[in-house]
Formats: sequence, C-alpha cells, structure tokens
Amino acid sequence: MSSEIPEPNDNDFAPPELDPPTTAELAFQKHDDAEPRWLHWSSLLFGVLSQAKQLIIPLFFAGFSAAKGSVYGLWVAAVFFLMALVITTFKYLTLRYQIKGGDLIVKEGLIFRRVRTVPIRRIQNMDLVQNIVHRLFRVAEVKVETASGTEPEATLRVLTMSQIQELRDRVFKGPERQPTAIKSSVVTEKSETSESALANSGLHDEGLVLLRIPTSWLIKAGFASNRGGLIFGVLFGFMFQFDLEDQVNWKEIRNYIPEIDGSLQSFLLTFAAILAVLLVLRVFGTIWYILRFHDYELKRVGEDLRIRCGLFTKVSATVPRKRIQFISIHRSLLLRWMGMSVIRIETAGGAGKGNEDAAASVSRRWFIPVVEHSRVEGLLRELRPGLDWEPEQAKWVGLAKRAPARLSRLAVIVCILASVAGYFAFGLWGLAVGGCLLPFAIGFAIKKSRSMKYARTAFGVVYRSGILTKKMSMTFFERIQTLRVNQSPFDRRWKMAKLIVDTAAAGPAEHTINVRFLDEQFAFQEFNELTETSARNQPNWNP
Amino acid sequence: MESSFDNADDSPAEPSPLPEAEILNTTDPQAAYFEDPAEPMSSTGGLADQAFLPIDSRQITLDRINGLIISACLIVGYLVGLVSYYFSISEPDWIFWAVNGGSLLFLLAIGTLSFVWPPTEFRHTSWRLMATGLEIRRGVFWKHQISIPSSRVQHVDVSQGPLQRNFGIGTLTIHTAGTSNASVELAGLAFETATALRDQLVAQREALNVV
Repeated sequence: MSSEIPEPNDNDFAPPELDPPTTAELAFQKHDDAEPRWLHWSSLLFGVLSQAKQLIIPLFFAGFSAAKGSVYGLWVAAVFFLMALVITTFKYLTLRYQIKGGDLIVKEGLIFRRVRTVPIRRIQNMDLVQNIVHRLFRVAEVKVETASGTEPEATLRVLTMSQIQELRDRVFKGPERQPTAIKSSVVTEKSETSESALANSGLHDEGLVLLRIPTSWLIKAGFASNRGGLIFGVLFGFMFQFDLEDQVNWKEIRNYIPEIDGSLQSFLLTFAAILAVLLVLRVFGTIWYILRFHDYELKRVGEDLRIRCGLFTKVSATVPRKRIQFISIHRSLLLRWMGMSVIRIETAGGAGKGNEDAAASVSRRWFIPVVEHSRVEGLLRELRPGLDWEPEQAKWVGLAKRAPARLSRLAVIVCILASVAGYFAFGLWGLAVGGCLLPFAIGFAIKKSRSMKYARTAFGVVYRSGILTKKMSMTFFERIQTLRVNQSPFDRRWKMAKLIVDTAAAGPAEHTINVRFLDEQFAFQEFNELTETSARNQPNWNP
Repeated sequence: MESSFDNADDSPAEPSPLPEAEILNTTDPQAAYFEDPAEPMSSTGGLADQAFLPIDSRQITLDRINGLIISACLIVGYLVGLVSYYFSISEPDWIFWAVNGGSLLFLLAIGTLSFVWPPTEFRHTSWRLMATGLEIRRGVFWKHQISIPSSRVQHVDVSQGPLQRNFGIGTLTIHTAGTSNASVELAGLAFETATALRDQLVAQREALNVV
C-alpha cells in the first residue's frame, strides 16, 4: 500500500547542516524503522462522536419527529450514523503515523492519499486535549504544532498515554534535539535528576512553575464575568430552534409573577428578582470557569510556556515564548475591586477563529484567566525576558490637550440631537432629555480622554484605555509590522491624528493599539521614531 | 473648498503639493532611485532623507478614463430608465421632470468629478523608499501615512490590468504579517518603477536577514 506512491523526499525538509549520525542516533534510527503505527482503537468511537457532533441538529429533528410518531426521521438518522461509522472506520484503518529519518510522517487515505511530513526539529509543541470520555479510555487527542502558526500541523485523534509519552520522548529528547538548543539539554538533565515522576497526565514533569490558580480565584473571576449569560443564549437558541416557545405556557408563568402596582413591596420584589437572576448568572459563570480552568498550572520549560487545566476536559497546551506578539492586561470593575487581573497574549496566526479547539482556545484566547494583580509584573518578566518595567515609571503620554474639549463638543452635539428626538417623541418636555444627559455625557467624554494613554518604552509600545474595564496592551518593536497615521478633516481642524500600530496579533485581546486624538505633531514624531526603531529590531520567526 | 484643504498641507508633516503644470511634465523622477539597482540601499544612507516622490502622472489620465467609463455606464442606465419610464406613463407629470432633472444634475456632478478628482488625488499620493523601508502618503480629505519596514515585507506583488498595461502603469502590493494592514497597495506607479521597487524591497529584506 505504501509503495504505491513515492516516499516523500527527506532532503526537502532536512536542515542542510546535518551532522553525521552518532551511535545514539543510529540506535534511534533503528528504532525508527519500526512499523508505522495505528491510532488507538477507541479512535473509532471518538470519530463517530465528532461526526455526530456535526450532525447534532438533524439528529435532534429526527428525535423529535420520532417522538411525534414518524419513523422516517429515525431512518435518516440511522443512515447518517452508518455513514459516520463507515467514514471513521475507513479513516482509522488508513491512518498511520511513523517516525522515520528525523520526520514525523502521518499517512492517511486510500484513494486520495495524503502524506504529511513534519521534521522533528521543527515541532514546537504537542498539545493535548483529554475530555472525560478520553480519560475513561486513558487516551488523548494530540496536536502537533510547528511555528507556522495557523493550524496544527497534524492531529492524532486519539493515542494512548503510553503512546503519547513515547512520541514525546522521541520528539523532544531524541537525537534531533541534542546538538541544537543548549536550553533543552539543560531541561532534560533536570528531568533526569528529578526522577521521571509523572504528574497526572504524565506529561508535565519538568520546568519551573510560574502560576497555579486556586479555586478561590476562579470563583472570583466567575463572579466578575458575564460568562453565565451564555447559558441563557444557549437555552433561548434551543427554544427557538425547535419552536418550543409555543409549548411553554406563558400565561401560567405570568400568574406566578406578582403585579407591579407601584407599592414599595412590588418595587422590592422586582429588585430582588433582578438580583436573583444576576446571581444565578454569576453562579453559572463561576461553574464555567471552574470546569474550564480547574487545577490551572502555568509552567516554563526552557523557552516554552506550558498550560494545563480543566476539570472534565483536560487541556495541555504549549506556547513558545518567542511566538508572543502582544500582551494585554484586562481589569474589569469587579476584578479591580477584588484586586485581580486577566492576562491575555496573542501569538501570530489563527487565533480567534470560531472553530478553534479547546487547547488553542486556552492557550491563545485565555492564557491566564485570572491572577492577583500584584503578581502580574513578575509574570510578565517570565513571559518575555527583559520585560522589566513598572507601569508607573513609564513616560505616559496622554491625548492632545484639546481632546477633552473635542470629545465634550461631540457630547454636546449628541445631547442636542437627543433633545430634538425627544421633542418629536414626547413634545416640549422631551427637550429635557438632552439637558439631563449632558452632564453625564460630558463627564464621560472627559474621563474617556483622560483614560487613554500611550507610552514608548525600552521594549516597545504600551497603550492603555478604558473607564470601567481598564486594558493595558503592549507590543514589542520586533513585532510591529506596519505603522500608520490617519488624519480626518476633523482631526486636522483640531490638530490631532490617530496612530495605528499593526502587529501579527489576530485579535482575541480585543485591544488593538489604535491611539486616537493624539497631538498631531507627537503622532508624526512617534510614527518616524517607531518606524526607525522597529526597522532596527529584526523579527525572528524561527525560534 | 479645494484650496482650504491645500492650506492644511503647509504643516511640516505633509508633502508640499506640486503645481499641476510641473506634475504633467514630470520625467520619471523615480529613475534616480534605481540607477544602480544591484546595490542595496540599506548601506548608502544618502536616501534616508529623500523627499517624497509622486506617482506616475499617467495615472491621472488612466483614472479619468476609468471615470469616463463609469459615467458612460451611468448615462446608459439613465437613458434606459428614461425610455422605459417615458413609455410606462401616459403623460409626463412633475415627478417625471423632477427625477429627470435630479438625475441629470447627478450625472453632471459625476462627470465633473471624474475629471477633477484624479489630479487632486494624484497630488495627494506620494511615496519614498528609505533605508528603513517604504513610506506611503495618501488621501485628500481623510489622509493617512503608512510605513512598512523592509524587514517586515513578506512578499510583494506587482499587478497590471488591461488599461494599466496600455499606460505602462502597475500596482504594487506589499504583504506583511500584520492584521489590519496585512496588505498595502500603491497604484499608479510606472510599471518599471513598481518592479524596481519590488526588487529593491526584497533585496533590502534579504540584506537584513543575512546579518
């Protein structure tokens, strides 16, 4: 079967300066010549499950129609199920992986064959996802990633823990790693001395622990987040998907809701009800946080940051330090009261896509879901060597002097428009709408213009903004891709400009460095300065 | 209206607008850039403070022709609408004349604009190549200035449509690994300038990567 197509040419991938094989390497190569291996047999089950996940809506319809007495839907479901089974069996039978000549080779398909060759030296990390069913079978999904960023280079669904351990040992401690990075050899020494005591998943047995998140922090984070709102979204989504709202007896429910008659009692009741709903939401948020981030641990192993977390679905992900493009610290109002922060990072490529898997989601979208604020600076130093700085010491530059005036004028215009709208809606009294809004709008404008601050430091650019949720984001000179200054006609009238610092970060931090209302002269000066500094600092794509 | 925005150009950050007569007589000032294309510019330094250069003046004619084509399409659409409307009603009422007058005014405005706008836009588009990278300035009302360090260039395209080919003009597209400005376009360069610029940018990047 494998002889039908030509073997991939190893020379295309092998680095040019390959040393002659040592005895150790030869020993490994002998080991390499082992037969290509299949995935674990439970892959069949997970394959069918993942196929079924894609068909969940048709399956639900089938279930409903069956409940209403029509067998037709069931037949359709059965056909789908059989198809899924056939496809997965076919995939399982044709997929093999193998390590050969310094490459990880994954072959799949029979009619359309696909051979994927990943040079072991280029493999940066192997992320694991292990949900509760996986744990029952003692298996996990493995994602092999290289620096290319966007997608895992190969996904092996699923391998047993012993297979994974073997693969990891081969990939990260094999001969390909020995002569290259000094750091990794230090790590292997360390792991040898500290006896190979395998942690829970058996994979985090080395490195320096940077952070462990206790459950109390997760509870705080859950209370401060709006995650619980998700549950309502899901519920309503289901209801409307299947037209269930007709089956809910709204009138019956209304009988339970007391009338609002303007009395103190009804007011208190309404207030209590709102409070209760909010509380329930927050509890759901907390549950979500605990499910996702239970037993969170961040480690640094050499140049890699490793995350492990999860209650039922365990995730183990790796982020090479050198891939960090952008660091963002978020502090919402509630989190600030509790003295906590969120740290998000952005790596180059694919983050923020809808169909990202759990491992990518944790490492790219979440990173550090919650941490005590006092520890942020220490963590930053670990995320990027030399990130020694104190936000209070930086030379912060605010917006242009006239920015509050400009924003206030905008506020006044909005209020006038609101008044006009009010006049048409409520008559003469409607004019008061704008008057009532005005103090708040102006206060907001002034606060907003004071909250936005920009600083150029020794390592890059920092931008902070936000009134309630304060965000502080930083990027580094070698990460800056392009620089841009925009000036609208209004900007020119106010002698202001907008400075845009573009990086490869794809956006989950939701805080791009677009600084508006800067003083015109300062913006152009920074533009030139940053152009020069970032040109001097070369990007390094190949760690 | 035009002049008030030109006044804004007096600020030191903006390129000094060239008089139109001079623009039309421009004899490819870009040529000086590429006298010795083999030598990367990163070391010369003499170019570091180069003034901004305009794009090729043939772009004005090209844009006017484009405008003409669009106007012609609109006029054809208008005539078709006019004829069908005329035959669908028994007697032209005031609405008919109002719509007619409005459309004619609109067409006139579009036609004038397609003639007047290209030179204005041309005057507000300029670029310069420096040791650090490429800088582009653009925009009549909403102005912007963008700089791409040459080490951040991922790849560079030079493209040419059929009309552009007639005029010997090309579009330079620079791709970076960024997100909001992942690709930066500069239309209206002489085709030779565009290809030379492409080679230069790539050479600069390679020179930096070797170090």
